[in-house]
Amino acid sequence: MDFVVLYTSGSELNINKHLLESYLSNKNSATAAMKYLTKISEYKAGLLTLTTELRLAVAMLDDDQPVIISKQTTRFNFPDRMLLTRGASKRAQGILKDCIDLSQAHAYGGFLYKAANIGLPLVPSAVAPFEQYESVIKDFLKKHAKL
Amino acid sequence: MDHIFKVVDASLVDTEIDQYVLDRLKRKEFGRMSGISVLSRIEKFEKSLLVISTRIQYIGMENEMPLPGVTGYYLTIMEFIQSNFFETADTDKKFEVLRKCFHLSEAHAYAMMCQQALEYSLSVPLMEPTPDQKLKDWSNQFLIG
Repeated sequence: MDFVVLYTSGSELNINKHLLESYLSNKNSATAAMKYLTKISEYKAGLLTLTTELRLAVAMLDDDQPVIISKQTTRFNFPDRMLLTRGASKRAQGILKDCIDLSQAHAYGGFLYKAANIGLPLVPSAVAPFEQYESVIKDFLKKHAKL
Repeated sequence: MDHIFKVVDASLVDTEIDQYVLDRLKRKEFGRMSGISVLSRIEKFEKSLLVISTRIQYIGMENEMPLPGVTGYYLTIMEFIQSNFFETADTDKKFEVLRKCFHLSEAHAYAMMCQQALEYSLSVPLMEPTPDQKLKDWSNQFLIG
């Protein structure tokens, strides 16, 4: 495989209790969504660290005040350290997109594990389209290209 | 993938503990011969819902035998936008989508297992994504039967 996941670790859930109570009491009429923002925190010596911020946002509420926020960090180890330093090839872009998808899945799994006891209704999660992270991925690969 | 399916649930279904092995894992008695073992399979595809189960075992190796200390069973449910996706898509697309579904399912399970590891005072295990050939085999079991 191209990489190994060394670990993933999530923060405690940062819950706005007032908004959560409001959401749970109106959950039949409220529309909730998971929103993700993944950043490439570091790439050094074959170690890639991604941080994903997950927000549970509810349409009936102010999006600037999400009900729950959590942060998940995932560290990947690339045995072939040059894999991400050969420029923005299709393969490198695909690998980085896979890492972003995994980081967001780690955030979703960790979130649901911690939220299992607070009575949240199921909130779907979608795979981010490549276009959403295309510029981030290309910029990263160009910045780290050593060819 | 964003227009093909969405994940509607990921959950820990059950956990089995072998206290004797768990205590040995905590004491790091297995040294480097400890880690996780991952096994996923498609449980069913029904009414647009694809259900994938993942079993992750935190094991110690002894005399080349895996001894599970913690075994977690996890489920991920994906809802497909088109209920006939697996009848109409071409083979490569089906494999590509199932590969992503397996990887996401294992990532959900891994995140939960890492959290459990902390709760049991175990070191967080590393995880190798399941190789594509194995995912193809698992996909074939579902697609061909």
